[in-house]
Amino acid sequence: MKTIIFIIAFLLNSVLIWSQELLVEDSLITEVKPASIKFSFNGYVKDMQSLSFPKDFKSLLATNLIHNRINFKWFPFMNLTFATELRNRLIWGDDVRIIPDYNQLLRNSNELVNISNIWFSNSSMVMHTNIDRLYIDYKLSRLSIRAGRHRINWGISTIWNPNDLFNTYNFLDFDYEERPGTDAIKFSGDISGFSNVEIAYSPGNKVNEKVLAGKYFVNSGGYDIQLLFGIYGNRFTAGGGWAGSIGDAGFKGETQFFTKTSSEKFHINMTIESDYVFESGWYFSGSFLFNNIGLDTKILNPSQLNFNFSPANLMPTKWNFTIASGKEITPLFSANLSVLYSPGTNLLLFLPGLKYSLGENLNVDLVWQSFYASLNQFEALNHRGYLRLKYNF
Amino acid sequence: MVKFWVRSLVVIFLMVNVQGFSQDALSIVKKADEKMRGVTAKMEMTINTIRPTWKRSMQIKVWSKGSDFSMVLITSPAKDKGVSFLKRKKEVWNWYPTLERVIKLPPSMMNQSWMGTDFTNDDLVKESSVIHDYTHKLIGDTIIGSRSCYTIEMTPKQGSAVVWGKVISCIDKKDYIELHMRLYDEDGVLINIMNGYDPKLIGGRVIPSRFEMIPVDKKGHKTEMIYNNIVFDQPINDDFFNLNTMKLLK
Repeated sequence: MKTIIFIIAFLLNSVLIWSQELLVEDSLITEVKPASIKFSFNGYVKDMQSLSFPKDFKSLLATNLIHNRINFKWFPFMNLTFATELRNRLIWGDDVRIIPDYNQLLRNSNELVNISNIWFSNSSMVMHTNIDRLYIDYKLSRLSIRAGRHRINWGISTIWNPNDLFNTYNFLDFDYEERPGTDAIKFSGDISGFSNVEIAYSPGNKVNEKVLAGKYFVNSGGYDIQLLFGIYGNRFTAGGGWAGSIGDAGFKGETQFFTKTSSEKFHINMTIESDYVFESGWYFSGSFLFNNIGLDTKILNPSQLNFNFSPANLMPTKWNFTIASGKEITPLFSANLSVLYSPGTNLLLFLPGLKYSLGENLNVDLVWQSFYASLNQFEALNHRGYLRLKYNF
Repeated sequence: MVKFWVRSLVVIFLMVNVQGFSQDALSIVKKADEKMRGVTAKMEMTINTIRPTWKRSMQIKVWSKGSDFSMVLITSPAKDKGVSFLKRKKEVWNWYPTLERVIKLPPSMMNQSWMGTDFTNDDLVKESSVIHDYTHKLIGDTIIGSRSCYTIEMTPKQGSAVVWGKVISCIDKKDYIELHMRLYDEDGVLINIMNGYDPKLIGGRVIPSRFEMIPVDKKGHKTEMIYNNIVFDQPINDDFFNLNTMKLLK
């Protein structure tokens, strides 16, 4: 009996302490998030001309994209948020004409419910709208719940994110930085400001795997550390990641395991990276990704390289190394270059870019992507160039 | 782009921590230093980067406590709106609402020079570097606008790891506000001039409401910092500066 009374007293005491802490936190939330702000509205308009060349530059496919994004959030009460974000795209040119079933490719395959529409399309032009965020978020002190279409971003490193189980950051798709949303429900509980637990479930669809996973995050000793467990399709998965520093250099990494099934092998993705900024302003980062089921021998055909990234397919190749560098030449003008190399296939990606600020909210980007690999000999596969103008509002 | 923000952070840390330089010279510098810093501060600022052919403007909100804790939210321009930074001692995080993602920055990002000067974040966030790392000497009086000022020369103490070879600071005798500062390199060459303008009652204290940092050898270049609003010494718990608050900032 004494034990039970002791336990009840202990629990009551804990709840009391917890709720007192909450009062403090709630008053601070009012401080940073004024109740007078009821709406937020922003977005951008982009025009991007893309040019696609074969290995010998003997022909050219040109496509233009006008892309408008609208983000709208409503905060009816302090802890409640409704969010809708959509993208309108008008695409015309060679890609629309030549790529079979082009309109089908516009829809995100990982969406459970179709809330997109093709307004019109003909042989060389299509206009498409997709709502890629549509969620409700409710926060009750330390607990929060978010349901609907949203981005669950569990990545911690910069180029590859094995821990990003609900989505995948595609470093080649620089023009969709928000990434597609996932139809999912997520619960979060804050243990403190520097440790929390998240549990999320995405039912998946016939294209995508269902995912149920939990993540524990803590910051300790100068390191962000996270551990993940879950079910990915019909496989168990576990992983972890960290972000800290060695001296003045950043030191990050992520690992994710997937158990084997009757049809699929045991799978591991592991990445380690480091970055450093020199006093001259040069930024350098080096990354490494190991994918145990990737290709590490010469390929016969470029189609063997599957760049349809998913949480389980971060790269088609086994060993991958990236060096990235960047420099702000003036406050308005910056340049960057990334080079990726995978031994065995000799896959080489050469990715330079330039960025210039034309105005407070107007930027122009020039991006280049060249792909090389060993087929009969080491040779170019194809090249792409993009010129993009972006206006934010 | 990150570098641009980090530079801006450096400006903020500068404003939070290094405003003051020194009856005796040291106590004058201390008073001016304490005046600008406060135990905690909540500020709304505009930073204008001005060049001969262009100008860019940025608006931010800053919450700070000493030099260990600070949080910065960019409220304008639209392309960066909502991006926030959190600094806790040596660790710095960056929140991108469009990516729904926190990125941890390498410590070397904070060693970046600011606006082509030798200012680095490390120099600026060292608490009261102006007090501890320099010896202070009252070398005269001057008048700036209608205000009578002390002129103080500061030279680095032996072995202190500071960038400047000499600093001349002019501090108003009545309100202890720094109205003019000249920063020299180790060879005695004048590199930067900082001026404080338009003293006003802000956050219960008379302080300059606008500062300009001018690199001497670059014609038409300057950085302007305008205080739109400040609340000093409102109690803020250390725990307030956390990853969850950083994501909530509006």
